[in-house]
Amino acid sequence: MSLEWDPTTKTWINVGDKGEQFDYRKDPNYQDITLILQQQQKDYQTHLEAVAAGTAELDPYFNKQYENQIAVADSINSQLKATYDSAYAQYQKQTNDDAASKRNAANIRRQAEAKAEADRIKAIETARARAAGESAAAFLESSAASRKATADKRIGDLYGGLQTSAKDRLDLLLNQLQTDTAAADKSITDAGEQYTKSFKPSVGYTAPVTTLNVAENPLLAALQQQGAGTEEVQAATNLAQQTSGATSDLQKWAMSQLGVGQQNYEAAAQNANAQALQAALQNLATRKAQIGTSFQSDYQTQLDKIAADQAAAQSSSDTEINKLIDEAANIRSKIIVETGTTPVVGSREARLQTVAEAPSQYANFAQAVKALNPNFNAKKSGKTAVQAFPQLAKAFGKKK
Amino acid sequence: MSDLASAFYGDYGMAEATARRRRSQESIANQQAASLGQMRGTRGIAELTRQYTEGFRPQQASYGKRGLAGPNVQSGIARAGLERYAATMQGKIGEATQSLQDELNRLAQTEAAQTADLDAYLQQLALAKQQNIFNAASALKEYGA
Repeated sequence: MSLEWDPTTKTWINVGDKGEQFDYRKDPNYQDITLILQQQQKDYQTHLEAVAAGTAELDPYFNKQYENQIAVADSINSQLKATYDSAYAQYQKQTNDDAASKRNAANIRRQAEAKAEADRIKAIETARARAAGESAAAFLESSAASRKATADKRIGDLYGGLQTSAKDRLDLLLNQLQTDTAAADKSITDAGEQYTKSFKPSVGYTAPVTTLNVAENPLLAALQQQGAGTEEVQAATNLAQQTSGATSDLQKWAMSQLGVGQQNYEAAAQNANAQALQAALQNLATRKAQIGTSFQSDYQTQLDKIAADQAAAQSSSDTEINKLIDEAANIRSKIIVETGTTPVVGSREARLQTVAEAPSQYANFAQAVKALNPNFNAKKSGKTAVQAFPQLAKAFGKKK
Repeated sequence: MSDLASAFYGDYGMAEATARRRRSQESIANQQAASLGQMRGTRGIAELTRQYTEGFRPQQASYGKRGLAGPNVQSGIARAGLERYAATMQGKIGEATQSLQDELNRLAQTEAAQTADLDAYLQQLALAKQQNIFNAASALKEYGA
């Protein structure tokens, strides 16, 4: 092998062995100048010897003929050399071209292999990135769903409990109101009955009115004895009796009238009691309704507040969870931008992704082969698992 | 003490006791007055009777001094005078008796009026207590205004 520096390409070129076919000195027409020179020297020696012998005169141009021969031979040789060099150049060019072609082919092949490897690595990286992104997004979504369920349950439990408490409290208050109202009703009714029962009509004006009889005049016998009349005395007695009776009657009548007035007063008092009883019961019923309505209103206000608080809590919770969902969406969006959409099941990309994820999914290569290729049978296929699934083997760092 | 309990008890018992005590004192005073009035009236009537009875003989004698009467003989003037005397006596006794009756009846009326007043007061008290109970019970103050 012979190397020559090619200044145009600035590379060493394997020119190979030229061989005799490119050696112009082997050409039949090649002029061996050495022989001419040897002949010249020989002839010139002879000439000099002849000159020395005096047989010949020194020819100063003796070598001229040889020089001409050499010049001619050199010219011929130059032409030959040019011819041979040209041929060799063609040959060399062809050889170089072939070599370049081979190198190019090899380069193309190596580049293709390198590109394929780079593509494979890139695809695996892409698949891993996609898988990682999808896993992160899925985790975030799952976490969001889980957290939402948990938060919703907590919120529901809390505010549902508050609603129940409020309802229980309302029921308690209404029951208490019912009890208290019944007690008040009983107090009123009992008091009314007690009043009626213990009411004693006054007997003040049944006080006895005194009617005094005027004593009989002790002088009547003496008058009769003296023959005096007793009519005037009797008249005085009668008048006194009548006056006594009349004033007594008047007194009785006055007492009776006062008694009627007292009875009227007592009837009015009893009526007042009856009306007060009725009014009290009515007032109690009204008050009960008012208080009950107030409880209902308070209860409704509490429910409204609980609902508002629950909505606020739910909104706050959803906002936080939506951040996770948004983050998952951002990750998915970023994944799509960076790694493209999720490969269709069965596609090469999907297969690549599965292979790329395998080391993180399975404990070792054997389990991955078993899981991803359940129908693989080394004996039937005549290949080892590494041979049958080189990409998967690479993912697990195995070499053929 | 709750409002209802206060309404039940409050100072009604004290007010009733005070009223009844005062009424008892009044009644005793009335009875005393009646008793004294009766004694005074009875004594007055007895005194009148005594005076007029003791004055009958002198009156009769005055007619004899004036020749209008003698033993077992009475002139018309004397008889009329004695009858007038006895009638005047009877009139005075009648007035005293009426006065006694009036006083007794006045006291009886006072007693009756005071009893009725007490009853009315107690009824008022019971009604007020009743209304207080009604108001306290129906107000349901435990539940606020």
